[in-house]
Amino acid sequence: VQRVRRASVTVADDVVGEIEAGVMVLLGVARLDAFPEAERLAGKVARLRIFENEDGRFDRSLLDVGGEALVVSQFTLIADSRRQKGTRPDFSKAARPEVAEALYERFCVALRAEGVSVQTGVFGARMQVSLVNDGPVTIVLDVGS
Amino acid sequence: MHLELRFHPLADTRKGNSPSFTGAAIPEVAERVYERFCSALEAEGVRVARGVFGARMQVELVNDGPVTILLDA
Repeated sequence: VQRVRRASVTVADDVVGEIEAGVMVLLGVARLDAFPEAERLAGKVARLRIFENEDGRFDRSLLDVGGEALVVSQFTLIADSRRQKGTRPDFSKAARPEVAEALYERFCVALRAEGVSVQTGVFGARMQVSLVNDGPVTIVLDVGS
Repeated sequence: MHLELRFHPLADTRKGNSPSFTGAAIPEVAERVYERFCSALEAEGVRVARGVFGARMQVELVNDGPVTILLDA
């Protein structure tokens, strides 16, 4: 999760998703993940307090500030860098694409149900993700069991 | 290669909605390790540009793929 001033995603030079201030979510799905994890993660993203109040403290959530979310699938996050051997990332713990896409969709639906305006990339497509990370603030969220 | 320091990935978000950063190094230590990392990467032959340690920054980038890897040494 990255706090952004703006973010957009293009596929073959076409802008398919674009937001103003809010969060960029790069979403990786692991093999053992299921719908409850997708929904729990959506709740966390909506309520994570990473926006400053008047005193400059992290006190406000995406919901509090009325921010938007741009969600893009990112299976490379599932690489386990501690266990991998050599220099090539090991993605064997990532969910199969059919499963990952269903959970990615469920996450987006759940985040919209929280009241967040959600834009998305195109699952599985080669994309260019442009963003301005404000802070920078980058948080790794893991709701896996 | 452009480098950014980020203590936020050390946040523990398992409890509640406020990230806890108690696992992050104190800034003096973090800055030295950050500088050492940059130097070591330059020594590998990589051109390295840096942010300003501890400053409020805007980081603009185009992630190609996208490809994002978590590394933990």
